[in-house]
Amino acid sequence: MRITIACPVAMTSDANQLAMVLAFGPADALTYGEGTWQDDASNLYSAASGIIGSQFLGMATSTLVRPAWDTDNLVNMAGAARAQAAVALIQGDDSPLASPTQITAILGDDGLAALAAMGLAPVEADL
Amino acid sequence: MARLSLGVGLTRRGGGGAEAPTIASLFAGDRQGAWFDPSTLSTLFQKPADGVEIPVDAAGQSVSRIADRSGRGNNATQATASRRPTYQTGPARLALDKIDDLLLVTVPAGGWTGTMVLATDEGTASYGVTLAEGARNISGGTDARYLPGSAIVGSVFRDGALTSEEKAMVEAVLVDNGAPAGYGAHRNFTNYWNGFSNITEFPTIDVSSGAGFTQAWRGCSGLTSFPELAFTAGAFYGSWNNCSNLATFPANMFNNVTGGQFTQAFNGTNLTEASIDNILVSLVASGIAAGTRVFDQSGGSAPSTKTGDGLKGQDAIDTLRSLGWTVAVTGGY
Repeated sequence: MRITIACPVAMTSDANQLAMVLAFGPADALTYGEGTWQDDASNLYSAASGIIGSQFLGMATSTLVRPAWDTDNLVNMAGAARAQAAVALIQGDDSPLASPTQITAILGDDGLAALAAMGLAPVEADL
Repeated sequence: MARLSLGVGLTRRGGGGAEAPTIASLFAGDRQGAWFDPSTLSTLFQKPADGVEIPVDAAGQSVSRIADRSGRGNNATQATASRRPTYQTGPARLALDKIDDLLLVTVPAGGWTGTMVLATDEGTASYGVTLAEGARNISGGTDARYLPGSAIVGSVFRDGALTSEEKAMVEAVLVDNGAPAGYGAHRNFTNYWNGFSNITEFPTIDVSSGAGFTQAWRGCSGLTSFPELAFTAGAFYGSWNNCSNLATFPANMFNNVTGGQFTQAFNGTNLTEASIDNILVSLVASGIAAGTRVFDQSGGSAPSTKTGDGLKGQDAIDTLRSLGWTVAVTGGY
């Protein structure tokens, strides 16, 4: 199963904390980078898309627990919790449009189609 | 059958007794480079948990590492889970989501200046490249959003340019592995090589079926010249935008084009006077007198000044404007 996520650039720091909790390790702090996608109002988003395991959604919606690998307290758990609270997993009749006030997530095999459904297009700096 | 024997990594003896090259033999004598071959399943690995690496054994699994088959040990990896491509079959390939997926090879000190052969699910071609030392995308691009296709069937990098025969041999192996040969049947090239700043020489590919080239070569700042491609149609919105070193552009490239969309096509380039003249003359030759009819150039040289012959430079611009074009060029004419 694939999940595609659009994160407003103002939330990427917290979202990367959440990514470390839900994925595998410190390298997942690089999940959300530059804002290379934009909505009609030119709000910028960082996008990520990847294959998730069967336990991912359960973990993502449960009380967050510091990962076992994080013995040095690298993860800002408060930031991860803020990001978790901002996640909107689109289901049913929910509007799929991305918003600068939430982290929008859609399940589906086609990541680009998910971003299009969110109303996002690639940013081209000079055009 | 000869093709099938080429990819096994052994040197093949040709009919005349000379040893014909194989992909593996391209790296003889400690020649630097890398060969990524998703059709060899044993080269693919996944990381289902932190610190755990196991072989990929089924389609749909994320690939955290692909081992280099060149013998140089330049494996490609991706540490961030969401950025890992997915192994797929039919043909064996690394499927990229064109959002954030990429595998990185660490180019050693001194970099690689030579050839990249890239086979995707949509075509195969050989490029001149310069890859500086450091982590580089095995697609040859710099932006995970753009690729001439949506999956990598194979890629080969060699420090030191390949000969025409060597390029043909590598391309044949990658086609045998399931990649389409060339791009002749392809219609939409939008964003295909966008941001491929490592490319220094673009191949003469078949674009005769192409209808859309929007931003196709945008940001290819390593290109100083462009080959003769037989365009027959297409929108060229931003196609060579920010190819900041592109100086030489052939004549007659757009003679047979039927669309007139060149908005920002040559902004941020470094075209010589002869090259911008070539382009303008070609647009006149196309006879386009309907449709969008917008052409933009900035950077580089201004078109040649009027001679009154109506043939090139500012005279060509006058002709285009008489046909309803809006033309903006370096120098402001």
